[in-house]
Amino acid sequence: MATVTPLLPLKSMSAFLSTVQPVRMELPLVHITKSEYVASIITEGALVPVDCPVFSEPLIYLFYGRPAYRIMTRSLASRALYCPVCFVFKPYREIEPLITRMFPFDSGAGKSGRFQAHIKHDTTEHYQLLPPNIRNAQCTISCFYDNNMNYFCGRAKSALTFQADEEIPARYYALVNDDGLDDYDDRRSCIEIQISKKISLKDALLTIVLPSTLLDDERVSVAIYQEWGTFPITYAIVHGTAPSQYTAVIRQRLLDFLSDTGYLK
Amino acid sequence: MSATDNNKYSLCGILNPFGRYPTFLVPIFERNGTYYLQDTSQTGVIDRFVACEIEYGSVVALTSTLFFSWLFSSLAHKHFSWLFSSLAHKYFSWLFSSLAHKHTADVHEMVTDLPWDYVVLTEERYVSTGDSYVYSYGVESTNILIDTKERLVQRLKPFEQIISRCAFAYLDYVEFIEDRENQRLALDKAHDRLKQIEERGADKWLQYSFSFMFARR
Repeated sequence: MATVTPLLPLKSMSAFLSTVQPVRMELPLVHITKSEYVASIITEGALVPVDCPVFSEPLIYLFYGRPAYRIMTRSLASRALYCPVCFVFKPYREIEPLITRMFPFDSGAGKSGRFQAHIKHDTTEHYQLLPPNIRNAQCTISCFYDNNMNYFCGRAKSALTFQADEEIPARYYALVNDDGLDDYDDRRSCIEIQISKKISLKDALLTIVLPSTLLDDERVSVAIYQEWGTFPITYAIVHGTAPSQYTAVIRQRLLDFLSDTGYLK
Repeated sequence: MSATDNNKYSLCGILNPFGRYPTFLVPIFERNGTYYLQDTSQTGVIDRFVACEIEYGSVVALTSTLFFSWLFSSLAHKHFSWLFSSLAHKYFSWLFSSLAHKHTADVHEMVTDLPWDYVVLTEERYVSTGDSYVYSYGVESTNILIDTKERLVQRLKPFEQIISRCAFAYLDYVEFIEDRENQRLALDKAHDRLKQIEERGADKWLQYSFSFMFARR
């Protein structure tokens, strides 16, 4: 009979991060949605969880400090997002008690096998950040990216080394450091936050980035200023439909805003 | 889709994600039952097509292809039986083909009697990567223009006054026609509009908009 050699237990992401000092500045949480949904969000005065086919429960997806978009269907024909609206939440842990799960990348992309070269689809759960709190996001940035600006730009630290029992963080590091795989897009290095409760928008936002034409609708401008207590940053939709441009434009708007307001130090 | 994609994509519909006019609209293309958006890197030509899903509620103009897809999605959603679906298919097939042979204006008059408000696209339009980017502008729900940038700039001129009544639509318009002289004017107009709601917040909007439009260019 073959003898079984006990393996060294692998360190989870959270155990690996437990000794790391977090970056000082907390980043805002970001939620991106379609322009079509703005009317119903105004009516509701809140973001409402919607059925997620991956986790089989209603969820709201946010990303830590970066404008990524979580695709909510299994269909391959849903990669494009036209004219998105980006909600930027005030930081300082106001949303933290609502967090259900946290991953250092887009868990849907992970579970669908998109990161298969580094992270097997059925091991996605091993990368969950536990407990799901802002500190763990700050530690992930400190450990793998050094600072908020590098994280925002997706620039991982160079030449990190790992012990034999640190296979999980080592695989994550290989994923975020793989320059040759642009098909992975932003979602491999965006810290994902899942929330299963309604998020009220009243006085909760730092800003909202949206297509300028939406502000011609008085319901939208009144909701932004008077109901949500924030101000808009707009972008022109003159390019009509180019999805790659919208993502880039929103990222640039947010980069400028977060730099001006001191979040990316 | 790669740059070597030589397939033909048919323009099958126009979306208005904003629910208002005047505004730029989103052309949707179809190939082998999948919907696509065109993509460009500001060269004025289509670089590639990107698969997308359609929010049927924002469809404002469509061809028969998209019409049937919309119809069956709606029927499936309402859990109608397959029998009803089949009958409805036959009825709407007949109706749509009858409509499609009329002039667009007449067609619109007839279709507005239906519980949906949309324009029927009767002209077939196919594009491939390397072709001119297709722009669409909705002056109002019954006046939807589809053209290349060069031609659309000319076709929009007669509607400038209508567009200028909406401060933010006008802001997009002056950027589209690259009218640098009027950009500052349009920015001030939009700022005034926001000041009526909240003065300090309006100034913050202006601060970022100004810097994006001018300082960071």
